[in-house]
Amino acid sequence: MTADGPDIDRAGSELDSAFRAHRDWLVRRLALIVGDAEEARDLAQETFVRAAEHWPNREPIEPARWLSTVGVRLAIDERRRRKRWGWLELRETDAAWAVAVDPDLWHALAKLDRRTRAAIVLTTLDGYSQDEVATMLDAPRGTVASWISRGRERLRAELGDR
Amino acid sequence: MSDLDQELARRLERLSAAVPARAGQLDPVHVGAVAARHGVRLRWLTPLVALVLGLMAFGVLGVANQRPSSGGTPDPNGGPVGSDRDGDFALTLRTDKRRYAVDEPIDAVGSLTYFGSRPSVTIHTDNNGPIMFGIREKVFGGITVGTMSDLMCGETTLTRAVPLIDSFHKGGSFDGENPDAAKFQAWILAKDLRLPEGTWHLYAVARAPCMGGDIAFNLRTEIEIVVGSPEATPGLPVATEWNDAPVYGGDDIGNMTFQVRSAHPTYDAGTPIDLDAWFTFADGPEEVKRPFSQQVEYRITALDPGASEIRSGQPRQDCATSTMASGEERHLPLDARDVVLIQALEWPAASEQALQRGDLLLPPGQWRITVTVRALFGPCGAPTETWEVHASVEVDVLPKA
Repeated sequence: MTADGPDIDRAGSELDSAFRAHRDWLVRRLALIVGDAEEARDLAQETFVRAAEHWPNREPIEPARWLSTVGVRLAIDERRRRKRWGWLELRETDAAWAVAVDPDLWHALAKLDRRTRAAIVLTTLDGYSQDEVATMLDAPRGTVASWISRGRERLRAELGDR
Repeated sequence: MSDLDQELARRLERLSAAVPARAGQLDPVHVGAVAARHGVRLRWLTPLVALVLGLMAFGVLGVANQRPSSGGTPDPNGGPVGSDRDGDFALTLRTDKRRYAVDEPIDAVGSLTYFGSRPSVTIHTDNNGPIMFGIREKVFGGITVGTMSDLMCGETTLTRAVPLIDSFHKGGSFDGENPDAAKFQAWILAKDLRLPEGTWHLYAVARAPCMGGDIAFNLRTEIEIVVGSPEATPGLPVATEWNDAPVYGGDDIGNMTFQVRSAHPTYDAGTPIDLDAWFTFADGPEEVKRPFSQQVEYRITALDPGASEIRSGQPRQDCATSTMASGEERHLPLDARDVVLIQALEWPAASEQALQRGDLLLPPGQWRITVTVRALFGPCGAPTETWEVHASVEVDVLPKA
């Protein structure tokens, strides 16, 4: 199905609006997940490139959720990331902004894997349900629940120790 | 919301707000991008990203799984037709003729048809369409042509016996630092498919499911066309480094990642398949460090409708447990006791003897090798938790000249 003429203009305008409305939000979420603001900006850029190629979607969508899904999947796709940058951990040197604001939380987050960080950020910060996050991450709901539960336990232990 | 949730949300919000999101603006997305969404918007991409997209097409879409061309079956009108069938689904790819002049538009069309008993079915495939297209050879020596996946899924409803028809749509990648990058980009964005002189192998792929769907099929077909001089000799795959790249299959369920690799897409008869399969546990969660027992299954299937079951069996149950460190790779040497299925037209004694030695020596034909690994946690025979990954590679074994 291809949009033509006015449809293209309208779709392009919608995409442009979504881009302006959500880019900073997306970069911030991805930065918490990948631990590096520069990498988050790169991922957000790639997310919007993909959006441009497929906008408008065939079904009505919620832009924030669609962008989250694509961005987060990009962020946690380790095999691609290994090919792209090697295995990246949260690097304190890259996150002066985080260390300045909440070093304890930053260090605690750094001890979680990316999927767990993504699940916790999306549920705790954005209010997505575990079912929604499971769909976003293409993982069974029970697995997501397990990540969140264990992640929260670990955060509680880490933050309680400080 | 618990106190921890509230406190965590507050602190995450502060942390999120501190991200320097605007330090380095993103390139703007504009209206024109939508008009060409079937193309590849490479002008935004750094050369590195273009390379990554190429790798993605290579791995995710399985374009590395090249089969030697049969040239398709000539149809009564003179154009080649390739077809593949998996269960109730059939895929065809055709062009209106076999030979084209240089720069002549090539009218390649794919169709996907459901032949089952239901009036209609809804399939879940890659968002880029039920049918994805590619070209085995690099165009101009630099463009890898294959439909890109955006890791999103889409739904399509097929009515029984009514083909879904789609014309060849281009996608591809190239090294943005190539001196001919502008030429490559223009070629990809051009609406028509035009090719330089040579023998070309066009393919179509249709795969399901993509997240959530219960209908599965895996279809791929290829045709050969010749562009330019009538003296051009069809039937000879172009020998490029890309064509001989290793073939990968992979799976990732979050805590467990699995890869199967064949060193080559094609082998000469009598040469063992150079196969490697290995899995890793993800980093981080403590749960990956629990003892588990391992169960492996190999399924070796000839991609021929006439193949019959040579052997089937149950996977071994080995109660020995072990643990793995995060990121540690565990390779799975082929053990004949783990081969739970062989489907073939023939299974020579030499193949069986090799299998008993731990070698995979396959007769000529197209083969799919599927490996399944389970990590079983809990009591032997009554696991309380199972992680399962499986992946396939397809290889061709060529008859000896």
